[in-house]
Amino acid sequence: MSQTIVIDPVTRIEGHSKITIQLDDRGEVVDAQFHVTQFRGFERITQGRPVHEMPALMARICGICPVSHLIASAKAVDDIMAVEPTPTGADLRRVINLGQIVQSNALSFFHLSSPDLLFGFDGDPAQRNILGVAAANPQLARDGIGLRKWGQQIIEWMGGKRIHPEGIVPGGVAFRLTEEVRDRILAGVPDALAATERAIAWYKSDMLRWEEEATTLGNFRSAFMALVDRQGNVDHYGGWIKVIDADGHALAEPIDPKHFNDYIGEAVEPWSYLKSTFWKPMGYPDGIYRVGPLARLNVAEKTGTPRADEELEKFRWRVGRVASSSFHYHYARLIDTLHAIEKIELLLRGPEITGPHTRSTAGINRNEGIGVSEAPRGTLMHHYKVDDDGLVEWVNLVIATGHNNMAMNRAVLQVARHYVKGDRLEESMLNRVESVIRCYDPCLSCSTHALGQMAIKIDLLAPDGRVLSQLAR
Amino acid sequence: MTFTDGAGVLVLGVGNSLRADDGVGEAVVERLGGVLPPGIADLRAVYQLTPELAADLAEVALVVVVDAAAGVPPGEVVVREPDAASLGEPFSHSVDPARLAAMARALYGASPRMLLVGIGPASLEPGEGLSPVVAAAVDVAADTIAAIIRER
Repeated sequence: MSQTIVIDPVTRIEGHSKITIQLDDRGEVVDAQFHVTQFRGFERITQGRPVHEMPALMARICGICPVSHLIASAKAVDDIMAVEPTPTGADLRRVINLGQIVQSNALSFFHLSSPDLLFGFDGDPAQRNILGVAAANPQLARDGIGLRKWGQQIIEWMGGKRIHPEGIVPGGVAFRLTEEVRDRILAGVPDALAATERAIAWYKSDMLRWEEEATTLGNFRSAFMALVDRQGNVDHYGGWIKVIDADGHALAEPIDPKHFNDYIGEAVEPWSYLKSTFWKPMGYPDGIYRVGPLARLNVAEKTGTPRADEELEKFRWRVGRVASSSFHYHYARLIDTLHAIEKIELLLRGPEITGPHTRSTAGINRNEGIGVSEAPRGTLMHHYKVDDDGLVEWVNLVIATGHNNMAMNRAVLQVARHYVKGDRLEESMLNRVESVIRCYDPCLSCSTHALGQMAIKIDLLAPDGRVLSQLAR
Repeated sequence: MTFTDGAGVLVLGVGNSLRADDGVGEAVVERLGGVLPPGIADLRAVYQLTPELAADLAEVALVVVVDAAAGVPPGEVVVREPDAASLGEPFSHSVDPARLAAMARALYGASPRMLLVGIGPASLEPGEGLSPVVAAAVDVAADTIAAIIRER
């Protein structure tokens, strides 16, 4: 008799979702689906608003990554105004964006995922949280707290507020950076670098414990997508979209982000509010690709900063030039963080960073605009159409978690096939199914369709749809 | 956001001002900014208590957490100490006051005195602005906290 297992809600991720696992008559897993179950609708509620309001409105999509939406939105409005931000304005945006990368990556690794790595996937669920980490490995917890705090301070000091900052505006940034704030941020760089390098050393020393998980948690061939700069190195703010296949070969020449619609399609499934994007030349669902820290390292030639490049070399020696296991998102996230800290320091030491010209101004010069940047979880695209008065007529948001949707579904299926046996649900299985989702650090609020903390429920269904077993948190 | 910088005292106004009276914590710290002399306390509005605040607790002697308090009559102001016996469910994004104090102790060896100031809400529905009965309690709460800080 076939059955279905439902995990509802999935925990320690951003937002609400559930997972369904379908078993056949022999109790073997035949299918699995990751459902995003809440709807928000920012693409509709912003219609009719003046486009200059869009960055501030879009920041409200998410309390974790408001800066990412501010950046992509401001860039889309730049495009509508047909202006480039001043060099100082662009560099200030880069610094705030990298502060966002640091604090969000720290949340994902230290707060959400390190409990599994520290206590094991079969460990006591009561321990597997940041408070358990604080008790068992205080240095690791202090490093996570310190990194997140420093990233949030950058956002607050430069953007005006820690959450939903207002400093990023169409044309650049609203505030000039003072030398005092610059120096305050720079003073935190040595501690931030040390904390990240301690975490990398700890992770590497413990990696062999997780060989089975690295093999089974979302380990499959797929394409990868990320932004790169002129040299082909990691670029979190701008540059070109680069897509490679599972062997590292470019699937196209570097793409101008304004033409992303020529290459990226979106599919909708009836069982989820989260859209699935796909590489158009391969169609849906064959055009599966991944974004985020792992994709950034796989796609780029180098990171472009010395300490991160040294770690990248070791990363590639350990897991290959194109890492295929989603488990390596954790390792990649730490190197991504190291690069972000180094880059923040480089940018803040630039001679013009405290200069007065932080913003270009213009009116409505186009009826359509696209802004693309790298959010912590991957490539983020905002696409707006406005009327001649600058009122928003149409919005499409293509979000990192949407890019990863097909990959997450495939990963859940792979984990379920490996760990789910028969019709009994066990905690260790539940945690491994959740943990493969956490590798991607999905933000369901950012996918415009969810709110609040993630919870998990697994239903085990009979062939006729009856719920045979259920695990929930 | 930080309204003033100060040493020795941290006041955290907790809540979401887009959920009606849940914004009372922010309103109280704003009011305190006009009541307290500069430099007396670090006044902050936060959406929720997060683990990162443990590091800030380590730098002060007194922490006052101001929040809407479900179960308290609308507009009533209550002051109490956190109940370590009723720790909430651990979660990685937010923590309850007692757990935050425990983290500060475990990670930084800090044990600042902590007081909770709760204001009973009339509405927690989506929307900006406090209901009249809660708005009237903002001054009471701010004066109460100012007195606590003065007398410490």
